[in-house]
Amino acid sequence: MNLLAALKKCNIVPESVIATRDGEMILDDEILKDGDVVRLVAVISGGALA
Amino acid sequence: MKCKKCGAKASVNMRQHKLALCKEHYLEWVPEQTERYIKKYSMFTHEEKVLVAVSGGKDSLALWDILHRLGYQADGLYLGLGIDGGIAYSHESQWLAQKFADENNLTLHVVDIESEYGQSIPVLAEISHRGHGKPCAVCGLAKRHEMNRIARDLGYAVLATGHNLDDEAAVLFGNTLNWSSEYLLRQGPVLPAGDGLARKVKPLCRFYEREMTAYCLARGIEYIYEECPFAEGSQSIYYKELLNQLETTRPGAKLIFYLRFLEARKRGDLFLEQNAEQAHLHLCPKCGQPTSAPEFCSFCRMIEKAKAVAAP
Repeated sequence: MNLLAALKKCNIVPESVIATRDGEMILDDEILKDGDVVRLVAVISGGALA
Repeated sequence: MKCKKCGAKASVNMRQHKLALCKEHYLEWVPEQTERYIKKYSMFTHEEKVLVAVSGGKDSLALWDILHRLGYQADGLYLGLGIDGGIAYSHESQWLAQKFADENNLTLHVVDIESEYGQSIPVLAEISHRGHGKPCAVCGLAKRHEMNRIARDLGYAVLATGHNLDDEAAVLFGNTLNWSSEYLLRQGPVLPAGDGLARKVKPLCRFYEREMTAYCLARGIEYIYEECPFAEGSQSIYYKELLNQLETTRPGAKLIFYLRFLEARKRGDLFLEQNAEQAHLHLCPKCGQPTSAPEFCSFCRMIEKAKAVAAP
């Protein structure tokens, strides 16, 4: 399964996160293997519309 | 996916540009593009002093880093808002802003709202009854007022903020939903200087929020990851989520939304263009900054009210 499929399976909008594995950014087509630990960094921040 | 420039494994893919880059080339591409936007929109020159509004978040620290790398005279301004939210939010964000400044030998001006005006932002919001139970409106008002005051008092020609394209698209989306013509006519990468108003610029306005996160990760910039405790459930975040859903199925939708708006505004195609001249500003008798409110500006009225309530 690649990253994009994994995100969709978890109902995560791909545009809203950046995925890293072993400290390196990975892209949608990256194949994930059993035991891989993927960290998702949320990209959205907000507050007052200034 | 391969880097378009060198063929190595790509770290960042920008579908709206059909461009994938490795970390090394991405870190070259971002400042190049920023420089291009600064020139395209005539934001500022290398001879002008720029004051960067630094919150400790990813966008403002990325902006400061990029301007520093490009050789601009960019100092930082941190506003202490006094927000705790159980996570020492303001304390942590100030620490990160100061750390970045120290590590890069940059000048950071710090203004603490409570020391300056007697109350923190959450308390000011409570006292002034602005913002329907949330301090975001008061926070925005105080930030605009103080950023302009410091830029004016310290002689900076330009005030730069880290607004990215997602911020701009979310504002545009909200203003379009409400047909807020006055706000629509004012939105853009540059807000020209006026009587008592510093020029305001947004050099990151064409980068996706995702790209700024990627920039910070690639550069190793430590930023405050926690969201402002008061931002939870905010309208801007909701709009951003909606726009990201659109972007997932239509890559480039956010960029086109914003750029076509700027083009239409420039051509004068937006409705009610004739009303742009109607906004009348005068100087607040107390602080001397321009305001459209009668007599004192909104900020000074809020402070006066806070003082009156706090007085025994």
